[in-house]
Amino acid sequence: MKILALETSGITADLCILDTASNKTWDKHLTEVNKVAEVITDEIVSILDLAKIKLNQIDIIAVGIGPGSYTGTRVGIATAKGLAQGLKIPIIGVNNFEALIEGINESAQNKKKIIPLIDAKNSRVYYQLDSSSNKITNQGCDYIKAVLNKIQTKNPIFVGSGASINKEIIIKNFENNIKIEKQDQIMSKYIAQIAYRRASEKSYDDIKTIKPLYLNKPNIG
Amino acid sequence: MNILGIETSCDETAASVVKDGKHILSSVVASQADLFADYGGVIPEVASRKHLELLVPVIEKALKESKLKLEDIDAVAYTKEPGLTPALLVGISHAKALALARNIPAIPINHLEAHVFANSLMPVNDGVEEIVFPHICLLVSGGHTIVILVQNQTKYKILGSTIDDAAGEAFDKVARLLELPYPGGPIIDKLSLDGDPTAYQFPRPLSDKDNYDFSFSGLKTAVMYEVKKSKPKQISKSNELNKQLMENWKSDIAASFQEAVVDILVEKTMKVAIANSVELVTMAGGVAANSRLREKMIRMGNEIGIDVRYPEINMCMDNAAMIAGLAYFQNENR
Repeated sequence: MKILALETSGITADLCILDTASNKTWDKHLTEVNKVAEVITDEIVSILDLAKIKLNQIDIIAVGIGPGSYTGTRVGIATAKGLAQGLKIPIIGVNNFEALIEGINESAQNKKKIIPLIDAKNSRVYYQLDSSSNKITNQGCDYIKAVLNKIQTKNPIFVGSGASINKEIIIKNFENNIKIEKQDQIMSKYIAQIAYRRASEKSYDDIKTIKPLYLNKPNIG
Repeated sequence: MNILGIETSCDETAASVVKDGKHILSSVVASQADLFADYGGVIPEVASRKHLELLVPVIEKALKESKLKLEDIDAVAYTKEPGLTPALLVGISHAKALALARNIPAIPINHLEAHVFANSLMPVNDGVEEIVFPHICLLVSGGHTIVILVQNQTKYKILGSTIDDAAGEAFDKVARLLELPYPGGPIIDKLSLDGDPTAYQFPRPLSDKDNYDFSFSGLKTAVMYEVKKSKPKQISKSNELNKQLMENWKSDIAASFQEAVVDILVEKTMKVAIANSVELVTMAGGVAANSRLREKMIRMGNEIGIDVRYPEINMCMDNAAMIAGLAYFQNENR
């Protein structure tokens, strides 16, 4: 199976191709995220060239659905929808919490203790409190102090840009018995890996309804 | 050549298939206007969320109604600018990716140029005459008021524009003063039918100036002062009578304001047309749907021997047919 994965919700953007037959991946990292919409189709052509794979050989489009920058996430999802519609192939959305957890090298038991935190600016974070399930009720956006007060997990493992930026408050709050992982960025190769597992179970998203993980109401201003 | 057009610059999600730049095989518009009625304007984040939700079904409907398949589409055209950036990005991203997937060109289009072009479109088998060049186009909407010399489908010269508010913006602001919902233009048009356009004498700014520019903020301020001064007090004990007084007053303010806007637009546009010796004036943009503007522009045109043309109402509003149509001619020039 050949999977093209796009991730555009963060302060940098990422795309990759995963060829599950040879277990090879090719990555491209884009640092000027405000220009992603201008360059993403060119970058897709470029990574296909790198992998020596044709676009019509791609079997699945995987895309990061955030949470993060809503405009950025929509660029990724709209691009993914255009590709999936044009190639008539399935689309799979993966959220940032899953992608961060996928990148941590821990036992399955310990993975349940992971609290992903993604910077939402102004001392707020997107969070997932319970990583043993992927329920929406355990996810949200709030001030870091309020989030830390909600945590009931013993010996939590923190990961994500929200953890790095708030490291001092976290350590002060928990003293010891916590771990803060270094992984900040959402990597498209983890999105591709998760998408592969879902694709093996034919668990696809609906191209009409796939959307960003909006954990905030729109800013009416 | 069949082109699929995609438009998401503001609060209408639209897709359309147009053949050879002139025949509209389908035109689908999903409007979000109801969402913003109480806010007095479009909220970019809300509009963008809706575009992402609606675009795939809108494209599928446009293809179905055109009786064509994706395989029959030769290019994808999309609105590149101007507009609300987060909203535009949804259409831009989807269109470019779809074109890449189909291995066909992706053609970026300027939204304003597309509005001007809308006068050249016709439904299939319609007996409308081909448009003549050069002509003068009054592009008048919520965001723009510009008078343009149109030399051909893709060549223009701007001859005059607003120095402050756009005409459509003035309609929306006056509607707000009268506590009417957004968008204000169609409501003021309707109210004015029952109102007296001479009840209040509002200024016609820049009408005496020997240039082709417009100004509406002074007019809007004059309306604001009049509204404060003359708004009926609830003097009667009868709710019915109070309500009637208020409605009559609103109709008169609306009609008098609208008359001032229309007079400025008609006078300046015809002035430009005469100075450039053209035989045709066209109108484009949302305000081109205004009934009084259409009526007075035609009347003046008849008096001085200039033809007046404007698109059907749904082609004055944002749509993707004008995007797909213009793309055909821009593609020819590449």
